[in-house]
This record gives sequence, C-alpha cells and structure tokens, in this order.
Amino acid sequence: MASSDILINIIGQFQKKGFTEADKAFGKLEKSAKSLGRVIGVSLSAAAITAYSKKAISAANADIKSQRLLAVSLNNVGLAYAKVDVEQFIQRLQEQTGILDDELRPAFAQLAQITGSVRRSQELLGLAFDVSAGSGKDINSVVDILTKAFLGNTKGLKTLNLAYTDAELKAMDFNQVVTILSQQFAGQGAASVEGFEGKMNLLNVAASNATETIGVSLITALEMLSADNSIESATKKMKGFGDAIANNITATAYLIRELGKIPGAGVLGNIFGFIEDRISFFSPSNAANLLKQIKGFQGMGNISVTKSSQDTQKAQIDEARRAEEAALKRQKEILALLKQQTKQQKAMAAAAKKQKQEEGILAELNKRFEMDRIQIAAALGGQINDVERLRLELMQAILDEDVKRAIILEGQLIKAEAAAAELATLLDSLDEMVGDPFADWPGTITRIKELLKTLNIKIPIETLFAEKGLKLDQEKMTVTKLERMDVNANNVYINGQVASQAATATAASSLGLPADIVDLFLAGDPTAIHAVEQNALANAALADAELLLADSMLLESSGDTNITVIVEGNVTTAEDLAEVITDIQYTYQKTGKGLLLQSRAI
Amino acid sequence: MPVVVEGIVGLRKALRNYDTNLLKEFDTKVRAELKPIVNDAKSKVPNSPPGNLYNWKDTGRERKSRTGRARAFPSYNPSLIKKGLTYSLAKNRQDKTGFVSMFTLFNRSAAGAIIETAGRANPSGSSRSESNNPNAGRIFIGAMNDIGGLKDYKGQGQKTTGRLLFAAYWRNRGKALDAIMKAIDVANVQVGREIDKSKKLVA
Repeated sequence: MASSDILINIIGQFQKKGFTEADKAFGKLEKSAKSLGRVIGVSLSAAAITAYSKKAISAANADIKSQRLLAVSLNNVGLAYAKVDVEQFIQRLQEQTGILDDELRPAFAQLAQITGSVRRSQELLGLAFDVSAGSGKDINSVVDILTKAFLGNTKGLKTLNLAYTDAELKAMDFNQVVTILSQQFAGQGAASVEGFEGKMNLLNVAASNATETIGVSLITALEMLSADNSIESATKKMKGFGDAIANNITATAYLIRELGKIPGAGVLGNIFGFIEDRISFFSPSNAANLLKQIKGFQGMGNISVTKSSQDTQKAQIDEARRAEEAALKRQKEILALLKQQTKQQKAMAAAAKKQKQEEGILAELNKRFEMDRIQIAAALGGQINDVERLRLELMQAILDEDVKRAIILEGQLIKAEAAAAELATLLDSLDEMVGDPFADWPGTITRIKELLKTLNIKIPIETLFAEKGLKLDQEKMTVTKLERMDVNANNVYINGQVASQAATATAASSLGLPADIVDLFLAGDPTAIHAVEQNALANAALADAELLLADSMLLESSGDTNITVIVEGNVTTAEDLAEVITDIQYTYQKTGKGLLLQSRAI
Repeated sequence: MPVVVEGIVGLRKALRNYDTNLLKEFDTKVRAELKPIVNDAKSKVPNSPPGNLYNWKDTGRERKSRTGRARAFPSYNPSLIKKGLTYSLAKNRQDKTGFVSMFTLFNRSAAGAIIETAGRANPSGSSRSESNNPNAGRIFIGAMNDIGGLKDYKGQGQKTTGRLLFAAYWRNRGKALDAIMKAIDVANVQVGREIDKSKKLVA
C-alpha cells in the first residue's frame, strides 16, 4: 500500500507490539519527572516533600560519587588536569544526547584509561553516541566495542553490521575503524534526538538534573543545619523546614486561588507573578553571586592576574601537552605491537598451513609406493624406461621429503602414464585397423611418434609395428601385413638403447661374419642376407650337433659306477661286508667326489 | 484453560479456527456494507473530465512530466479511477499510533486522488503555484467541485475531507459502521457458542 493512497479505516485495533520503545521512553520520563512533578505542582504535603527530598539527596549522592570516580580514573591515567573540562564536556554531551551523565562518566573513564588522551576520549565518546543511536546498542556496549577495537580486538565490530568481513576488520587499524564508523553512523545521534524517544530522553535528563540539583541543595542545607554535629537537631530542623516549605507553598497556592475569585483581582495575579520571579531568582548560584557582590571584587574568573596563577595555568597547559604526546606515543606503540603481532600470526598460520599441506601431499604420495631408498637407487642405476625413471625419482623425492620436486614429478608421472596408456591402446588397435579401409593411418602414426617422443622411448616405430606383425612404410604412409621379418642391425634395441656401430660390429663378429658381409647385410643386400641366413642355419646345425654330443657325454658320465671292493681278511657274514663297503664309501666321499647310490647296486 | 478472544484480529482468527463458514458469513456481511459506499463513490466519477477540462482526458499517449517530478500529471481515465475505488477486508500495517485497520476503503488511482483532495488545503488554489495562469488552481478546483463539494466524513478537518470516497462515506452517515459493529457482535456470539460447544465436548 503506497503511503499516498487515499483511504478510510473503518475499524481499527490497537496493537501493543512495536510500541515497547515508546513505553520505555515514557517509563524513563515517568521515573524522574513524575516525582519531580509531585513536589512541584501536584502534591505539596510535607510527607511528599520529605519523600522527594530523600530521592533527590540519593540522586545527588550518586551523581557526586560518579563524579569522584571519574576524577580518580582521570588521576590514575595522568589526566587530572582535565577534570573540570571533562565534567563540562559530559554535562554538555548529556544535554545534547539525552544520555544521563551517570552513564557517560563510566564510558568516558573507560575510554580515557585506554587512550590516555582527553581529546581522543571526547571524540570517541561522540562517535559512540552516533553508533549507539544507529545500531540500537546502549552507549556502554558501544564504548566496550571501541575500547576492544583500540586494542586490536575487532570481534565486537561484527555486531555493528559494518558490511566488512572478519578478515577485513582484522586487517584494519583503529583509525580506519573510526573512519568507517564515522561514515556509516554519521548524524545518527542527532537524528535520534530529533525523534520522539530522543525528546523523551532529553526531558528525562532535564528532570534528573533538576532532581540532582535539588538534592545537592538539600545536602548543603543539611550540612548547614547540622553544623553543631547534632543529627537529632538537624533532623528536627529539616522536618521543620520541610513543614514550613510545604505550608508556605500550600498557603501561597490557596491565596492565589482565593484571590482569583475576587472580581478585579487580576492585578494581584501579576503581583504574584512578580513574587514567583523573585523566588525563582533566589537560587543558590544567584545567592552566591549576590554574596560576591556584597563581599566585593574577588577575582577575574578564569583569567589569572597573579604570577602564581599564571604559573599554574602554564603548568596545566604543559601537563596537557605532555599527556597528549604520551597518549599519541602509546597509541603508536600499540599499533606497532598489533602490526607485529598480526604479522607473526600470519606467518605462523602460513607456515602451519604449508606444513599441513605438505604432510597431506606426502602422505598421499607415500601410499603409492612401498620401496625403500636403496631399492630406488639400485633401480635408477639400472636400465629403465622413462616412466619407470619418473616413478623412481618420485619415490626418491618422497623419501627425501622434497615436496616441491615430488609435486613436479607427480605431474610428470601422471602425464607419462597417460601417454603410455594411450600408446598401448593405439598399438593394440593396430590389428583391427589393418582390415579397415577407412583407418586413419597418418593420424595414428603421427600420434604414436609423438607419444614415443614424449615418453622418450627410443624403440623405432617400425619395430613396434613389426612386433604386431605389421610392416610400416613411412614414406607412403602405408601399413601391410608382415610376411617376412628383416632384421636391421641399426634398429636393434639392446637394453633400452640403440646399439652403436661398434655394438653392431660386435654383434656381427659374434656371428662369425666378415665385416664386409656385415656391411652388405646392413645395407639390405639380398645375397648378403641370404648368406647370413645360411650361416645362421649352419651355426644352428653346428649347435645342434654340439648339443647332441654334449648329451651323449652327459649320459656317459652319468652311467653306473662299478666299485671294486677288495676285502682284506675274511668276510664271514653279510654284516661284515656291508660295514666294509660303508667305510669305503665314506673314504671316497672324503675326497670331495659325489656318490650316487642305487639300492639295486647294494 | 479459558479461551480468550481479544479484539477483532482475535475474533477473525477464532472464526477461522472454529468454522471457516462463520468467517465467510461475517466477511459477506461486512462486504455488503462496504460495497454500496464504493459503488456510490464510483457513480460520482464522470465519463469525461470534470468541468470539461481541456487536454486532461486520457488519449492513450504517455504524458511527460513538465515539472521537476519524475511522474507526470496523471491523465483522466474514468475506468482507472473507478477501478481504484475499492475496499479491503485484510488487516493492514500498523500505523505510527499503534493501530491496525481491519476494514479499509481505498481510492488508489492518482487521478482519483486528485479529484478526491483537490482544494481541501487551499480552496482557491495554492499561492505557491508555478503556473503561467494565476487562476489555474482556482479554475481546476472549481471544475472538480462540479462532481460535488468536499465533505468531511469524520469532522477532523483536512485529512478526512474529500469528494469521491470520503463524500460517499459521509453520505452513508455511519450506517455501514453500525452494521459492521452489529456483524462483529453476532460473530462474537457465534464464536462464544462454538467455544461452549467445544468445552462440552471436552468435558
């Protein structure tokens, strides 16, 4: 519903919800103003005056107490020189904000203790009022938040809904916090005073102040009355005073009312107005001024005319300057400490994070392997392919706890394993591709070459195709079934390395061939190839013959051995014979020769 | 435990809880009282701009603001004005004095609001008028008075004074309010009966 709608509300109902603030404001005002009103114009009995007097004295006492506490606090932080100024500031702020001085004094003392500066405390208290009005928190809570923020604890700032993250708030220094708060809550305090509740608060302050002022006067009066140190006397006099005042006020009111009934008595009303003015003029402060006038010239207010007074003022100014400087220095120290602390915390957090991350990575990588360092070193010393080398190096890095290297190697290994898997898949698919007229041989061959290069595998691609029973012609980019395998010594792969020319020669010489035949063979001469094949067949036949010979010799060597037993003396029983034979066997075995025993031989 | 029905908000809740038909019946009675007022107001809306004011009639062309305001002066469209004259049985938002309205009559359209209120603050036109014609305000208000004079339905001055809806409510002379109050009493009794029935059932 737009607010500009023209409408008629037929039946309405009051709902209490949402009116608690107004109730509070009324309640506060009622507390102080009602009792004040009772004595001023509503009920003017002596009992009422006595009851109100008690309350006023109590309020005045509380006020004096809070003033003293603030003064002590200022003394303790070396700001004693500013007691009067601070009190005036609090009174002014109270009148402007509608917050009672009883609340403002502890708040100021708290700020002064932390900042050590009157000026800074005044600024922060003003800011606290704005923030309090804008956030709905009471001023003491806001001062708590500010003092904590001054010491680097920004936790409370979150509750003010500043639209900054925790990390951002932590990173800010106090001056930045103050700037943000000043911007966000600018004018909130003034606006709150303009509202209904604000006006109520101002009234409340005025009423409380009036009560306190009356209370102070009553205390002074009591002191004057009990000058003879007799409480009984003071009580009687005070009661008499109260009765007298009540009677006088009642009588005055009666007189005004009765006179008002007399026709043409308006002039008398003016006379009582004049009397009222005179009575109100007779306040303690005016009385003091009157006394001053009677006593004569007593001084020039705040202007020092004597030398000693000038010295005192100068000393106070110096003290204020020193206190401000000390506060500034302290704040700088706190800021520096906070920065250092934050830096250390960040460094520690980063180190802990890094350590945790590294531990995690190492733990994860450790799961992949269970070999120890020696095995890795031995394996690295041997002939290995690229993937295996990466694995071993990775394991070594894990054992060395070299996280950086381990991560790099892990990445390389993953890539290499993927490439190896792809190569294996491609090679497996070659058989199927042969029968496929649409097979993409150029693409497949190029990819295999790339993978071989990536994996640093030095096996020629033709060899890989040959292993699959295929012949690759790279010039024509064709693949056919391999009917005959020609061995090209240039592409002999020995232990992961291409054999060198010397190695080729060695290989050739091991076949018992002359060097020129080997050259022709390497050039692919069919005659030389045929000769090598024949030679190989001859060698094979020779080897077979040698094998047969070796077998026959083995059979011969493993035939039955006849042992001639010469028995010295007589053999009377079979047991005697067995004993002799056993002794001979032992003697034979002692020579280190083996002995095959067959039961049938015995 | 005693059942407490507090106010009309509570009464409506109770009606809904005990028997929705009771609530429907209650609403029908209230509607029957509000509708004639709205219809009366609608009947006062002329088909052409009051006083035959030149160039106020809605031609379908979008008007542009000739002042600093973003919104242009609204065109006179009788159907829109009639559409804006309506009522509601819904509880509205709490006002600053803490009250919620239970039944409301509305004059929602901008042109309707102008007809309703023109001249109630300055019967001869505003002294702050920036028009080239010094009599523009007086002429416009005079044209509006062709519909009927300003009527104060509540006797509270400017804010309760108008020509369309307010005047219709004024003409109603409180009949609607009486009827609604009666309907509330009846509903209250009905709820009481329902509560008694429930108590007996529980017992």
